[in-house]
Amino acid sequence: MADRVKVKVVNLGSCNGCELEILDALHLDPDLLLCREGDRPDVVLLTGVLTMTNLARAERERIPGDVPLVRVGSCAISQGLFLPPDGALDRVPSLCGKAPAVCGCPPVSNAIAEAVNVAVDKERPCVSA
Amino acid sequence: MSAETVTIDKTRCDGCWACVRSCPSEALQSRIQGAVAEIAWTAGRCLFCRRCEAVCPRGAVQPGEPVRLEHIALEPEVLVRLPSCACPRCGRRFGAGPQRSGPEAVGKAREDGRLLLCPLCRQREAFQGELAGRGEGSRC
Amino acid sequence: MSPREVTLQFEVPEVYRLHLRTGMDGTIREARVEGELASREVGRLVASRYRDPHKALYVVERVCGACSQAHTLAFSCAVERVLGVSVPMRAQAIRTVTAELERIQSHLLTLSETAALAGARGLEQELWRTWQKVTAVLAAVTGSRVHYGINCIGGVVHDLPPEALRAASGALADLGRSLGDLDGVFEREAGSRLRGLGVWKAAGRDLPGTGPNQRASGSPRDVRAERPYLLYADLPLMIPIRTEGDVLARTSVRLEELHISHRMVKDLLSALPEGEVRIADLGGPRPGSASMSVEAPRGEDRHDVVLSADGEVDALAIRVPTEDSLLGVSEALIGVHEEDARLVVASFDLCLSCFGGT
Repeated sequence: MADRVKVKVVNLGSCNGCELEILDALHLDPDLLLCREGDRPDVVLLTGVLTMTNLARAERERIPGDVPLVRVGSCAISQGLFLPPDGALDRVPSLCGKAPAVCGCPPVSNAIAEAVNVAVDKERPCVSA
Repeated sequence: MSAETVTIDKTRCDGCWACVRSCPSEALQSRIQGAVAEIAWTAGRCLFCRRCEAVCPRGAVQPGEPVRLEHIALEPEVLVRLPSCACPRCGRRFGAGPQRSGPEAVGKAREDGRLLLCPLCRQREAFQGELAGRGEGSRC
Repeated sequence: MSPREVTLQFEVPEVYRLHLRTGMDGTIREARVEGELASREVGRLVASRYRDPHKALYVVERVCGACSQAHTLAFSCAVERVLGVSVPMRAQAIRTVTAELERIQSHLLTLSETAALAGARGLEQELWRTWQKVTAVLAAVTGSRVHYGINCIGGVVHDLPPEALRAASGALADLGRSLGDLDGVFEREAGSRLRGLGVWKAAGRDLPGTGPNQRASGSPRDVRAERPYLLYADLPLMIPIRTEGDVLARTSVRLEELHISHRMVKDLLSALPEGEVRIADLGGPRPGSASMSVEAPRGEDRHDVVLSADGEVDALAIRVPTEDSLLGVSEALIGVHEEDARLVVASFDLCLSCFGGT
């Protein structure tokens, strides 16, 4: 029997559309479950508008080191339509640039479930020191 | 209902850039590289709202295949390349489909000089027409 | 347990922090929800970068993923009021259908979360399967599961051709069967836990705001009844009321509203008015300001819009029902044990993405 995959969501400040599809993904795939408080997750899903400020705050407190990271939705990839007025992306650290991304606004649940399974299989730590 | 890529049919596109102007998240962008004008699409910015498809006056914008995980999310992908030509009013270069740069354009320009203008000048012209009460209502 | 201050952080289905001061026995003396973690200031963003009202709709939609139809509806209607245009009846019907389906979707999300936190895992699964069914109806009607993109200035962006209508009606019937199995289910499966927990009384206090939380504590307020819009003046609108103001009451009101909304959608789809779905010519730009309130799934959502002479959005102010729920939560948590805090908060259905979105 395969191990269940413990999923942690770090919500940087989303409209919660991605959370709806993530919850659906957790229901669709019985091997995925939401990580409990205090448990070490197997994968972290990032949602919400990705800015230097949000990320710095989240890294300090909520994103554990060497756990695969998956960016879910256009906000977490490119800030979606919340991108800053000068059109320039904040220079987010390279860790997020390399983390797999599920495109969509929001992406559908089976795409998210697929991305989680791929991220866990690859066993590649996406958070640099 | 998966997210599908955006494609542009080169045989229908006339470089009006309505799709680029309509995009809420700047996923579609236009750029001029010398004699070539391009429209590029970035999957990671796209909302998959399909507004570009709705506003295209020629049905050139169509959904493509479902976006794969391997789709490189922040790399712009060129969807269409057109020859560029210079706007007679502002001098800037823009992408011109055959309707603008080919022989038919000359004939049409006699009827409607706006066709030879770049998208910005053309839009300004239409807008000023509205303000002057010429009633050329804007499309959504 | 000793008296202490504790901060809990949650991420799903929405991000917020809960600051508690508890007594020796773990009961809550003081509580505050910090809900500004999803701050995106959509009003300011629209007035600065998305001044074209047609484009602004895409941003306004993304104030919230669970009540996006409410927001685009309020915004579209406010702009339509400034322009002095009337939306065709068929479009109003499609807008009403989508609004009520969204209410069902949003309530099922909250109910599923409440069931999970109450320890009723089987019920959580059943409610989520029902959520999947209403999402299927929404997809049939609008083409999308979340962020429907159905509203535009002057109507809706596309019609419901016969085959889409058939698909939607079929999915709706399937949803109806599931809803039938949910009667009184919280009472049966978690009544002893939910009864008397997290009591909040709104009746007779002249508090602002409408919504299921008020209706669960004796205050029968609903914008659809007080200031009817869309087709609500012509539809039989039933408003379930409870007076206990506890978690069970807030849950029961939402459960009953599922059936009422389902009935409305069924009646509307079976008799859609003929005609256009969109105004062809909105006329030239016209300056002015207008306000529009709708009954979003959590209560009154109000958009105040100012348009310039060029037809652009000069200002957009959004007032969401979250503020009223936040008051309720901080009162309801007093005397609750720390272990039940999250369950009580979930029963209020705060919608902090709305709160941060404005």
